[in-house]
Amino acid sequence: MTRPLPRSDLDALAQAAGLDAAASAALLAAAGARPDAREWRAALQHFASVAGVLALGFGAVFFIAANWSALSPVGRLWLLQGLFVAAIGVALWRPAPDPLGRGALLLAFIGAGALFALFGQTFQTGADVYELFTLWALLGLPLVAAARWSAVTAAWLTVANLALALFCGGRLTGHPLWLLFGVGDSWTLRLLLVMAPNLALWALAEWRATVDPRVEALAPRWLRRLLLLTGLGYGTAAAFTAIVDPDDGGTATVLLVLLAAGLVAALCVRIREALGLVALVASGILLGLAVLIRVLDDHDLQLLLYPLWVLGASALAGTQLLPLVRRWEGDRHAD
Amino acid sequence: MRTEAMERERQRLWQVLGAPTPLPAAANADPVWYLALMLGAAAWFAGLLLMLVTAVIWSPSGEGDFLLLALLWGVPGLLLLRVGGSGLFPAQLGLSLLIAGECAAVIAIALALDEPEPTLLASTMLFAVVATIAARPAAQVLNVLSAAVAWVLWLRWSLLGEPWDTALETRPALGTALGVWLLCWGPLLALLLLIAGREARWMATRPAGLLRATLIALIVALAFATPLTQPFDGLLTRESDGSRDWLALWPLLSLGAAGVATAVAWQQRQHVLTGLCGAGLLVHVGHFYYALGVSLIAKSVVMLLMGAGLLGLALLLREKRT
Repeated sequence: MTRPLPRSDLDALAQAAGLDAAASAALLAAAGARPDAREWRAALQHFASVAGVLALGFGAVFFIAANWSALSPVGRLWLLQGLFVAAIGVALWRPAPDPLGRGALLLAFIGAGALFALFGQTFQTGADVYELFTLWALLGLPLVAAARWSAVTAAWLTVANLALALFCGGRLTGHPLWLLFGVGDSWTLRLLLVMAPNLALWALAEWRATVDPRVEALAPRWLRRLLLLTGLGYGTAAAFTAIVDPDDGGTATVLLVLLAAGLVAALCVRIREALGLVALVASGILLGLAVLIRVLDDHDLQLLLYPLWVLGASALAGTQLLPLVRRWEGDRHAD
Repeated sequence: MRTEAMERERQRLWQVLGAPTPLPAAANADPVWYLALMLGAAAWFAGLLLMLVTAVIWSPSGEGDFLLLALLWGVPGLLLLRVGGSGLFPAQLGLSLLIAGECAAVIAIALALDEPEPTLLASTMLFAVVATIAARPAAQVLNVLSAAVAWVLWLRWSLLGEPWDTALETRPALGTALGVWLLCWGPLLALLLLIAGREARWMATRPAGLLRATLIALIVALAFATPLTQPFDGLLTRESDGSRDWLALWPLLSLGAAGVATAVAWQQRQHVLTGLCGAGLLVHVGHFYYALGVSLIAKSVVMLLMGAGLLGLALLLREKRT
């Protein structure tokens, strides 16, 4: 099926031909710019299945929260376990890729986290919060594999990132991992430990997507892009802080981020991922601003260089990137 | 992005139209969404920095100073946006100057009027006027979105009181809560449906660009309706005293509005906006959970009924399809 033209193109055609309302409607129909009744019904059915399961799950969570103080610890555990088992039962009854089964697996994944939290609270295991999230991420992996659905993968990635962020943000001193990676007390170097798995997963997913079509269901392009942006976000935050406050990681952090940026750029060029290059440019603009903050005085006209830098750099980068982005996106849609 | 396939599709559609004139040359296609987003965000950020730096360097104090700044930045910004042609730098500079100018204008209005509600009403009008005369989609989207937020805040604070007004102990009745929500968001919802429904009537007219930008801004505004205007409502402003507050229904109503916005975004084949609306739906559920004034039991019943209704609908549609 031909991809519908952008609305701006359709507007331009309608204006050039001087169309009235009826002819414009015919143009929209001929261009396939609006979904027909069949598409509406299919989309509504898909949405209602997933949203229905989620609403039931949220309703159950609200109910448990409402009766929290009235329930005994064992009662709470039974309720949450019941919710989890019910969700797994629905997923077995209507296995993925049925929308109902996928919604149920998403619910089961969320329910598993609540169950771990309740277990830790009830039996006072003494575990740190990051351990809860790590356990949740590890034990949730089979659900991700069973669902083969980007929403569950996205939920899993959120939990895994939270586990990483809590671990790197909370363990200030003395953990053997810090000695292993030579991180010490540097906050910015720890941010890089969160950046690295995101970028590695992105690279792995991009590589597998070229050879295994099943990756598209598990981690579609929008999710791979989200991984890339998350990784670059952590890297940018680390380098920005290291530039403004060189005592925290300083040169090592900046060099490592530059190395990662170089590798990301190389892979983006190889797979023609223009969003990666745009994100790198945005990151570069912010890091350039950090350099200006570091080197300029605070009390004179030099401050005007801040907005000028952001403006000039973004406009220059936009001018350079625009043809490249159009060509790569065009090639991708033509394939 | 302009591909051969797109060019072929243009030619096919031109033949379908049976227009007597030759196919006009394709205009420069819009930048891809993420590049447009990066440029828009950079211009917005630069505009805020410009305003901040100006305030640090010259220390403006009264409304006169800020009005002067508004004119100094805003007028050249608008002119650049109108005459900037296709160059990116003039467009970026114009948008930044306009944003800095609008910030200064809002501060000048606030200093002159000295009350939040008249300031919000005046800001709504300012943003609406600028949206109609700014000649770039990014400026139009930002201004329509800002106008929508200012409009809702003006109505809400005027009718229900300001959120930090601790002396305000009376809770609105059910009818008032529903009525004020409808007054706040109803016109925006109606406008969205009107613009989307009458697309064929306006797409060949001059204001098509402004209407497209309005459509996008309204979808974003409705997708994040209540949190956008009252982000800490139910979280930080007060603690529950156990009394009923029908304002707790607002996130539920906004959930419905976000659902409509999702449908319109999908109907317009705007995939990124549809995804954004999906995130908005989840935010509304979270907001509903934290909204004070309705018991959690009632909320859980509402969610369970909603879930049962949606699953019933899904089953009905499945049977119809087969």
